[in-house]
Amino acid sequence: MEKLNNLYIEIKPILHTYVFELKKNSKKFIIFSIITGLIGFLIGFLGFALIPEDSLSSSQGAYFQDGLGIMSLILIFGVCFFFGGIICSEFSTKSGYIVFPKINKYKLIIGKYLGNITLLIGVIAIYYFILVLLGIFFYGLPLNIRIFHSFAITILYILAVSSFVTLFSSFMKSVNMTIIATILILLIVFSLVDQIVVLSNPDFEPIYSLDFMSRLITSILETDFPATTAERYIDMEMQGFIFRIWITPTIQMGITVMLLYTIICLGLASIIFSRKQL
Amino acid sequence: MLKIKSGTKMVVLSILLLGIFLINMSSTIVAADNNYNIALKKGTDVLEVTEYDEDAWKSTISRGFSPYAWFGGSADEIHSKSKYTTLSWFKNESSAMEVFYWIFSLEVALLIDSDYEYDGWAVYQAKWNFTSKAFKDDADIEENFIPVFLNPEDFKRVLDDYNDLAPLVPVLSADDFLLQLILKGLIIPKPFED
Repeated sequence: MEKLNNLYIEIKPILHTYVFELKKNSKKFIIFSIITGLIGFLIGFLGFALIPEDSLSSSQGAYFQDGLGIMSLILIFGVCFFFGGIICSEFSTKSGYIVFPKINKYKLIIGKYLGNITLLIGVIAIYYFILVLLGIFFYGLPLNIRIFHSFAITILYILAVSSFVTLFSSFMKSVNMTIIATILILLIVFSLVDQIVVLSNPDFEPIYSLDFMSRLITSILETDFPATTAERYIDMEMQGFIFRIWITPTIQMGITVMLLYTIICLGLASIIFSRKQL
Repeated sequence: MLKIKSGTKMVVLSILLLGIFLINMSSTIVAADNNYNIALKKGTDVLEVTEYDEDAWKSTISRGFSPYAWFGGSADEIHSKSKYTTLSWFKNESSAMEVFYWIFSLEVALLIDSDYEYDGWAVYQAKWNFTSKAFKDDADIEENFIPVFLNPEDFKRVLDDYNDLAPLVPVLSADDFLLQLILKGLIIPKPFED
């Protein structure tokens, strides 16, 4: 009983920070939820309802794949806005002078991280919920169970990208610069590097790339997930060059890489954070 | 004098513009220049076999023509289900050759000698055959094409074209022809008042 008591006392600052973060970012959560919900409604319903020529997908799984095509873009912006200031805001606004003497700084960051993760998963859950409702509306029951697998992959992807952004937040000086830098890297740099690497060596699968990992969110919905390496890419030959487009990582590789990103980025962020001075 | 905050004005203006946009989008869909319009909605319908009298079927339809041949799958089992999802439709002009290719085959279609254009719609559906098990994730026919004639009089036109064709294709009987029309899935447009 005493051990439990001590544990509770240890966890209490994290819980308080967690609840505080939920309340502090509630407006951000509401705005993102509304925007995400509208996007889900527009992509998943409005076009199909108003335009007869706009063809529905031939199955519920394919419909979910099309609806989730924009998920990685929503996630990148969501993660950058929610996590951009997770560490650097305490230093840029100098609020660390007030907070750090009163609360263990690691517990503070853990509480903030968990609070923001909860909010972002909530936003994404709303998008998935709308898509599921529309999937049932257009295709009826039963629900394709792979949508839950996709949701699990999305949560892993959120963990990986949020850790990546947290790492940047640990050494950058301002919140705005962190958001801009991480959006640019996640949206543009990763895909550029992928193209250069694959062009120079088509056999090299870009497993380092978060952009490549994000494709697992939709590809896991395939009825027949590519079983062999050859099924996971398409080759296009043009003027003597082979342009290889890698479609998806394997499920095991995707989960492993995303977990590695989470562990490594959070580890590095905590090291940098421990040495950072106010 | 009623003062309205600029924020409220923006909200009202946005809603108004959105409403005008949506009305314009929907009005272009329902406008029609004839007395028939297609009454489809996107979505899925499930069909279930609730009754099957095998003797009555054999005596009415044919001994050699089973429910499987007509509906596909296990259509002769009680409680077996089929479903189809209407994916899209659009205005379309089909040549006589295209219509006969849809009803019969390419070989028959190539024998057609008619310049007539059948006005109507092209409807695309995904179809799951009758089954007593759970539906598969993917459809048995992912894109089932069904032409819908704008003018029901075009069915008579199809029969006239068939009559011209019949001496060249003696294996086709009138019953065969009508059966093929029914098997492919007749969709009739809905009449409405001007």
